[in-house]
Amino acid sequence: MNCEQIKKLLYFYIYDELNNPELDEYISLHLEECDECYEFYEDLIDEIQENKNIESISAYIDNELSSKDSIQVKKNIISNKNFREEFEKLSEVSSLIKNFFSKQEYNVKNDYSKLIFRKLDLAEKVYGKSLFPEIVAIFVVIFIGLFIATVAIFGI
Amino acid sequence: MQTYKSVEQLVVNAQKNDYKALEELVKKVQRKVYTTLLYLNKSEDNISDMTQEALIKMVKSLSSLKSPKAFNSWLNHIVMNIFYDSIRKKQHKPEMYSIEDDDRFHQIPDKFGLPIDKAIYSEADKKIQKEILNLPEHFRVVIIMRELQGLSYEEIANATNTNLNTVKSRIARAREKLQISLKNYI
Repeated sequence: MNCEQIKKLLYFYIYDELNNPELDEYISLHLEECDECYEFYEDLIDEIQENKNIESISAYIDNELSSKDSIQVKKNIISNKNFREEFEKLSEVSSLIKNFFSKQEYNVKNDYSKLIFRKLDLAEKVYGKSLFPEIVAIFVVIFIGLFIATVAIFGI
Repeated sequence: MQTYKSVEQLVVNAQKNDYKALEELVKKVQRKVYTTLLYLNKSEDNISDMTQEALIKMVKSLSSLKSPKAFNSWLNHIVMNIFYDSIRKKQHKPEMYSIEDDDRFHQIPDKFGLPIDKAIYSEADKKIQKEILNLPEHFRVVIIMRELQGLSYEEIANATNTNLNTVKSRIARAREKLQISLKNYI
């Protein structure tokens, strides 16, 4: 196996996901002998650690960590400048996006309620029975009454 | 006139055939449903139709919701199904827009028929909108669920059929990407 092939497997090696003890052993030996691959391995570990820190900070912002992990992140934010800066940046971006979505939501003026209640045949239940037909009927009766009265009085 | 404070209370009352509560519930959630679909959907079509479809499904099946506390997550499930159905119908594959794709942003208010005065779009808002839409779909979905809908990681994991670690990682990656692209506005 050449170095490029080894490098491609290192992520799985670190996470113990090779599921192949012989390959695991082979990579361990290779790392002891090959400086280039060992350097790559160390960089990868640093990168994974950095990603894990960012994930922890992000989950801390969302209050999604266990109390133990949350305390640890809080301690790191207080004691470590890089950690604190990362926390501030991620908090700000989270607020920025949240505020943006709130504004977008607020600006939606469409009201679908009447339309969907009509489609669901629920308009009468939601808005009450419409009195329009009754009002029209009353006007028609009055008009006819007046007409008949006019005819009766004036004998037209 | 009776006023209701929480969505949960509205759900409880609407389930007891209080139609005024049902009307208020629809009015209360429709903006969020519309905005969610607007940012999920990259094809720029039918947002109004999809919103109506989601609201109709919500009203029709509200009585089957067992826990009013789970309403937001339940509604999100309806919205996501409509979104994925629309993708399937169009045989649309998730895509990535290039950072340089300026035209896409400027098309949104017109093509979506958003009833928003264009003047309210500050330069910062334009940039934020563009960068959210530029996120790969699996990042955009979790950011919408978290920052717009306020769902928990567990609810997002259920909705996206992934696990908590994946959700945690995707939200962090998405924020990191947005933080880099929006650094001038932070």
